[in-house]
Amino acid sequence: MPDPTIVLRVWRQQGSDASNGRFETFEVQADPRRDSVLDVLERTWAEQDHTLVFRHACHHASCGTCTLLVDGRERLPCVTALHDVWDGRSSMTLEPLRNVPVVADLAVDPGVMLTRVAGLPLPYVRAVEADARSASGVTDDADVGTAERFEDCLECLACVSACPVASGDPDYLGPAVLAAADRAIEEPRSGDPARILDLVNTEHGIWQCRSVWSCSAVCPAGVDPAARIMSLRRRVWRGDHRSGSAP
Amino acid sequence: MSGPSLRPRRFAGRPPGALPGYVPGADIPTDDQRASSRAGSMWLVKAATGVLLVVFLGTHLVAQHFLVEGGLRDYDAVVAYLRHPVALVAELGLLVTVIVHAALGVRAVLVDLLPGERALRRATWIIGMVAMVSLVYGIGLTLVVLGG
Amino acid sequence: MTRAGVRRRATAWMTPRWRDPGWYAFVLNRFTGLILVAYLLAHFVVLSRLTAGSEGWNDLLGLFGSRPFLVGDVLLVSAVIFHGLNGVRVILLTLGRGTRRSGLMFGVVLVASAALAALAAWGILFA
Repeated sequence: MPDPTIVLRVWRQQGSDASNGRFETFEVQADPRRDSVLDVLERTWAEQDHTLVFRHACHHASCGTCTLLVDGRERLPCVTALHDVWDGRSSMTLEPLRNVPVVADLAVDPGVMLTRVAGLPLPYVRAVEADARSASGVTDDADVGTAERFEDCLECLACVSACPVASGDPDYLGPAVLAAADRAIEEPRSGDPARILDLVNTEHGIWQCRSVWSCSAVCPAGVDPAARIMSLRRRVWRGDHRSGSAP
Repeated sequence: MSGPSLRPRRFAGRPPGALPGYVPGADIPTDDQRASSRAGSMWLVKAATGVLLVVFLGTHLVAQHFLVEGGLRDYDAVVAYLRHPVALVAELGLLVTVIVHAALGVRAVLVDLLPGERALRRATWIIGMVAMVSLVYGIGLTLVVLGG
Repeated sequence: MTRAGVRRRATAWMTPRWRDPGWYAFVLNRFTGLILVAYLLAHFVVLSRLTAGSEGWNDLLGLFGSRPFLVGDVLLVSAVIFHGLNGVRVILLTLGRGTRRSGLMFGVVLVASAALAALAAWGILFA
């Protein structure tokens, strides 16, 4: 039996000006049992239109590059199975992320956000919460040291796209940066917690959040940025890391 | 700060202390100290007045509509009610709490809607004025009713 | 950062996020809040009638006790109930309670609001 055909609506836009943008429709074969959304997009590019612009890299939810809106919801298309989002009949709509400048079509420019996260700084490794060695009964292993793993956040900017506050205020630091700030204070490997808290304790920082919680709902990595923003607020109220200047 | 221009830029030099990967315009803008502590306090006041409103508004609704025959106080019943010191305190408490909560709430909505700092400051001033006028009006009205 | 056909920046928060309980809670909280502010101002205006003495005020009671007004009262009380309960939910979330269950908490708020509003409706319309 041949693969079914899916009607794919893809947002096309030249450059960062959305007023010349429009949807283009493709019909492409898709296997709901095997394909990811990214597979379908790549097949469309390969077989029908080489001018389609979109980003992708690792294909396994580690790099945070391919994030886009699938039927209006932020997803990583590389790990979104087609059968999870397609009923087999309707069309599927792909759009670039909201609240981030668009380079063209589905590709966005994450530059400002990523640089802010790196500038906090947010180190990319963290201590593991539970030590797997002790769980398995291994003790007294002085050579191994503290177990580490990568930070949860992929910097995929799904949270920024989902945030209605970010859509209204271009100066809002956003859930990605704020969650990174809380992590950088929680585990300060090379940073200055007092300085970082001062950076985010602003009208356009943690106090702009309206507790919508959409960011945490769409995060594919379990960062829970909303909870971290609340954590930052409590740090301020408790007077943690109070820097030298009087309030 | 609505995002970097995508035209290639001449690199004009990195500020001292800048981390690798520095991009001009990607710095986090800072408030002054007063603005930050104000923002944090405003949230606390909004939360506190909200909780107080459960008490004040609940009392008000019950006292105004469920303690009299027919559910609505006529003029004499209003005056009689306000003559009780506890009731008076409750009504004035409601007046202050609801005005403060409403003013902060409206301002929070405007923070998202207004385009810039100056518009926001002007709107905050207007909200403050409306709140003050309402407060004075409410207290004045209470005194007039009590007097007559 | 605007898109053709999408509402401009200031009202972008009104763009629906279907199946996202947090968005519904946020929008409902805003709308009930703004409705209540409008009602508050109208209420101040109405209360000025008290300065007209006994006749001036008592004349209004017939109107305020009429069916349409009572139904309006039910809607207003429902708005207050939802706004207050969701406000408590926001306070709890800010304190770090239930952050992994914010959607569930919204469901609880909705159910509790409906129950209390029904109670209020019974009290206002039938008691």
